[in-house]
Amino acid sequence: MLKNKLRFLFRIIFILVLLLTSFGAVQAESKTTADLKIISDPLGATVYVDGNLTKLHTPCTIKDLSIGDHRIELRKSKYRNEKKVVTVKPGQNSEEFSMAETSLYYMWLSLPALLLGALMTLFLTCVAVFNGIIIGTFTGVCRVIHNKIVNMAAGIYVDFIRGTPLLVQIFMIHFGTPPILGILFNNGQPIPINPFLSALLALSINSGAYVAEIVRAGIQSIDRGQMEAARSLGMSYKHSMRFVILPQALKRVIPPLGNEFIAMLKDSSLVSVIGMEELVRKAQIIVTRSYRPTETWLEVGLLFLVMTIPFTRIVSRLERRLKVND
Amino acid sequence: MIKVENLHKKFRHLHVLKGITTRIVKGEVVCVIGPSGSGKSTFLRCLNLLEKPSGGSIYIEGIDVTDHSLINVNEVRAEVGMVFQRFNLFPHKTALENITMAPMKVRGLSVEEATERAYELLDRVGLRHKADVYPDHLSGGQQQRIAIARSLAMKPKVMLFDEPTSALDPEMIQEVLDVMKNLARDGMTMIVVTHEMGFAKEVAHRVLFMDEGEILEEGAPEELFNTARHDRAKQFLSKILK
Ligand SMILES: Nc1ncnc2c1ncn2[C@@H]1O[C@H](COP(=O)(O)OP(=O)(O)OP(=O)(O)O)[C@@H](O)[C@H]1O
Ligand SMILES: [Mg+2]
Repeated sequence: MLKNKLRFLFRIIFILVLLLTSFGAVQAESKTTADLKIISDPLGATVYVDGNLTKLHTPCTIKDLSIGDHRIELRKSKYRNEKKVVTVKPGQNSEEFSMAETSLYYMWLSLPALLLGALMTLFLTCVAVFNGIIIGTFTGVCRVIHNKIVNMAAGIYVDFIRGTPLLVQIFMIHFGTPPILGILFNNGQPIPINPFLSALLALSINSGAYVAEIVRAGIQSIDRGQMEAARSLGMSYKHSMRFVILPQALKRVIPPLGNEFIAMLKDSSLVSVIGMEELVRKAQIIVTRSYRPTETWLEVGLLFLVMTIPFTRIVSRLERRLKVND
Repeated sequence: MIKVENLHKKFRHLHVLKGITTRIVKGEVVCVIGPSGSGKSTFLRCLNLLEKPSGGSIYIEGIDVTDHSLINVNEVRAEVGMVFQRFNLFPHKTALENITMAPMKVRGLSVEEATERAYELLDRVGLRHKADVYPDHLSGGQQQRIAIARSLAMKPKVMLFDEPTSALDPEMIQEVLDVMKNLARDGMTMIVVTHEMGFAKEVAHRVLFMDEGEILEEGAPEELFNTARHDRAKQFLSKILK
């Protein structure tokens, strides 16, 4: 009897064990997670799964993903990333990410940063040409009045600026003056100038010389008879200049001033070398991150065109109108 | 009223005026004739100091205007009106503004005073209706009449005319000469460089014949035209009187 009971017990245990093991086997058969292998071009992108950053970089395998849909996002750089919803099935999964963006999309993405740069370029140009007009009108008049010393001083300034590269002028101001300032005001310790100030200073001084030439040419283009008529009426040289010559010269000076503005818009890109974040500098920064020089520089070129074309149009229209009036 | 004594003018090596001496009395009309390059324009320009004389003196109402310690050049010029061959109106100003500018800037007239005076002068040259027109919309003759009015607005003591009609189309010459004749009749002292012999005969009290920087002949118009002594003067006159 006892023997029978023991056997019965063993039997039950055996069945239980059998049941348990078989249950386990069944469970192993219907697993609820799987692995996902990810390949991308280019490699080395960071992987986000359902919005969470993982420590993985492509190529890699994401282990133990639950069966079903997952949002997988690969990020290589600001301009190279791709999101996909991947359905993970039991067994082996693998997914390829091409990450190839269209050029247009890339250009669209980089536009805000470049526009900011373009705005800076416009601002620098406007301020420089405005200062240039003030400096240049003064200097231009200094070149034509009858005073040898004043003529010479104005001439040296104009010749120096027009005879040296703008790049050199920028370097002279940004790198050349801090030691001098230091000797004068700081016991020999150089006083650095901030790039914004250097840029504005260099561009204004440069523009001033070119405007001076425009103003001088404008004044000298006015018929000598105008000055003589004014003087013969007893008007002083100053009055004749102010009320007879300059108003006429001003009209002729407007179109070349427009050209100066356009030239300055383009030449201001040189201040990128001292770290002024205008359009060109912004583009350089973007290119080092995106590895997309072709699109970036094309975009920069287009942005310059967008800025210069309206002015070119205005200038040629003014030129035509003034020609009719003459 | 004007006394010129041994006036010389040199442009570097070029000796243009070689001792001009003459006197012009108040109300006199003097015509200056002579071949091109003889220094007629230079002579006029010296009189209102547009050119600085190299030697000699010019007295206007007893004051030596070549003595810069004594005079203000602008004050002298305000008293000596000048009319140019090419008008030289200010193209950015209307006819009226051309006339009012100098009286306001130099004499300190108010806008109202200057404008009133300008309209009187516009009436005198017969161009009141063109007051607000810009010079490029005026004919040559009209421009020259405005230029005369512009000079007169300064109430000058003497008026200088440098070939005032030689840049004009023939049909416009008369209107300018008429204005000048009226001016002469009103007693204005005038020195006129011109080749209009009819005008000279009719209006001038005296004609100066200049050649190579000198006054070669001088006299009343008829007398000079008929009895010129120098060959060069005869030659010139025979050409011009035809
Ligand atoms: N600013 C000047 N500089 C140098 N030479 C001059 C100047 N002005 C005039 N001349 C010269 O002086 C000479 C006389 O010139 P001016 O104009 O007085 O002659 P003109 O008698 O008025 O001649 P035209 O009948 O052609 O007007 C000319 O040989 C001229 O070349
Ligand atoms: Mg002349």
